Amino acid sequence: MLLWAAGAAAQNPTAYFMEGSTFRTQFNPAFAPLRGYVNIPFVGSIQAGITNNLPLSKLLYPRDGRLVTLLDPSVSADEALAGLKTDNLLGTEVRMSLIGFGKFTKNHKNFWSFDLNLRTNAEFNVPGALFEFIKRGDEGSIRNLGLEAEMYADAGVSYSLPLLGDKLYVGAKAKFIVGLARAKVNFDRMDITLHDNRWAVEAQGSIEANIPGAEVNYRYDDYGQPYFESDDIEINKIKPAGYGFAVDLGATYEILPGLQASLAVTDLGFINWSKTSTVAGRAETSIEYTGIMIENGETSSTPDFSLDDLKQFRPIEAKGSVRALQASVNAGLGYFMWDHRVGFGLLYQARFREFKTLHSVTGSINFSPIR
Amino acid sequence: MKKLLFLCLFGVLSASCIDKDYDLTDIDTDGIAVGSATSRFTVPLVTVTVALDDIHDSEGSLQEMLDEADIWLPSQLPGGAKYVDFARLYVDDAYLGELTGTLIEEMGRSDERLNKVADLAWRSYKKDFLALLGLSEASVDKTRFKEAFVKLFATNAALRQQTEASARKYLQLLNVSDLSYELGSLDLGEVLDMLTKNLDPQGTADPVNTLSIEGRVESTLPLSMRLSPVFTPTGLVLSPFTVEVDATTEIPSTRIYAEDLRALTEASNVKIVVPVELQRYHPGRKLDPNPISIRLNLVKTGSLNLDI
Repeated sequence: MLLWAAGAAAQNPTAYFMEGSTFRTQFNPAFAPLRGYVNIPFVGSIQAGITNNLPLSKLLYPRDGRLVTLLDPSVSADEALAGLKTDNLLGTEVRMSLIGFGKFTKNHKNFWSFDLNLRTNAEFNVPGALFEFIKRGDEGSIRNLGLEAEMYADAGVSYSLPLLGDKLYVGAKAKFIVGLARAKVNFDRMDITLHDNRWAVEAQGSIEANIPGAEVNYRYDDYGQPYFESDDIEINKIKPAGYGFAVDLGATYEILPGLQASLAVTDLGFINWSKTSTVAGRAETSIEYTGIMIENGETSSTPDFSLDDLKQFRPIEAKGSVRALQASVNAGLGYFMWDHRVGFGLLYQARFREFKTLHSVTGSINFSPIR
Repeated sequence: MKKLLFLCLFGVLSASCIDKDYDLTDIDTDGIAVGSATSRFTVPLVTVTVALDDIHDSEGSLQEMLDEADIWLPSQLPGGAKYVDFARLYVDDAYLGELTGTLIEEMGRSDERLNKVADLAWRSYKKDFLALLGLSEASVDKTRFKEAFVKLFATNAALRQQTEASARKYLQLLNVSDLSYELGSLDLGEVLDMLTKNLDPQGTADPVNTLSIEGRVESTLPLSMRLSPVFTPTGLVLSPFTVEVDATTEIPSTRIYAEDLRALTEASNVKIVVPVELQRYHPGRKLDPNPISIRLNLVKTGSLNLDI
């Protein structure tokens, strides 16, 4: 339980400068922990993190002793919209270590490890125009409203070794990847009209899912044309939906005693999602409400305005696709003193997400009273 | 001691990072609203294009009614008036007498007007005039009838009185039937919940979230009239309003409540019935084939409720 708790808390990027942490190798394969390790299968490590390009205080607001979202009526439009960006990314990452172990070689300098992880990434891109529409109630032209999620397992072997008289450490990790599932729903365009004689939503979007053994229960419109909603996709078999390969490459360099620079790129690779697992569809939806029109004594058909129509996709030809993993670049500068019991660090991260590249800088002060 | 100091410092720093205002285990995600307290949403409800033939009385169309009224009314209204005031026409005998008296005078000096009235009398009031003209129904034709009417009008007081009486009777009874349109079922889809979920109850002081029916009427008719639309079978009555001559008229707001709108959407045979009360008539103008357009809107103030 203690191990699990420790693992769950380790997603914080300040772990980058925690020399004892076994999770540092996830940021940079040149890092080695202080000693070898074995992760207990399934409970050894579960890391969950939230990534976004907004501070939490822009998404959640304390009201009467509870938290509400910025969509709550108690949050004014001016308050909610101040500081929102054109594209606002909300993402989650979960990494569960199924098994992992690592060991120094006899010289206690070279380190190798093996890890098998189950990884899930999800991200939601919410354009600022959508928030503008919701909070102000004005008409809106919303672009790139999207949701993407993927799940895969990676099995990787890493090795790090010192060079240049231990000043330079280099490391690499090679990962074989099994794609388990992936889905992306994106609305390129959503135009909302609120005229006094016409309410309308015109949307253009697409869905692409890679689900093993996927079967779609198509529905049919009045013209006999098939369509489906995401709920109509069924999973009948559990099997891989694609395969891939990735590497992590990294290096650290001791510039001065105690001052270390590090640079790494992680998850540089791809998954080839198979055609047989692919479900693809396109939505060209236009819903409008004009009220009842009476002309020449004749009543027009009763108009229907259902937002559910926006979830309907027309099937298109499925194709296999090669998709890059969500790579990251991690660059750090750390200074350690008092026999490495106190450390100051600065970490720059660039994370290449589906909808947007996130940049962050984290400063940390680490205390290691027990080594 | 050094280790204890480090542990204490670590504990203080950890505690300082916890902000109880941001307890992520207690996030309320229920309330999603589109717009704010100051928002105003206007939703189309019904647009009726009123054809000229839709407006009639029990005898004939509005075109026929006004064509005849133009004959019974003098070319120049008394006192240089621009319009006939129906409200006075119905109750003010002196006003009616002034109108018909002016007509009789005009007929005495205008052959064109005299011929028009003679023609109308032949078409619609023949029996009332035959005896006064010394004609019998069996032997009369249009030409003989009109010749006798024109010839005797200046000298036959009884003929002039009957003419005036016919004019009075017609003008006094000028009116039109209620307009009535079948709407069928009024399915607002998901808009219904968006509009009604957060309405302030009746009696709320300074309400923010309200629902009302408003709209506008565009009319090219030479008539002003007072309309009082009613939705049946729910009995929802809109505030009466006057449609001005050849103008766009805003329909005053009628506040309604969730139950009113739900009743409308749940009924399968909704009709809109529009009693018409004529007010003023500007004689001699041409009529468009589609002279009136009525647009009714639902107006929601405050935010829209959105269930995702």
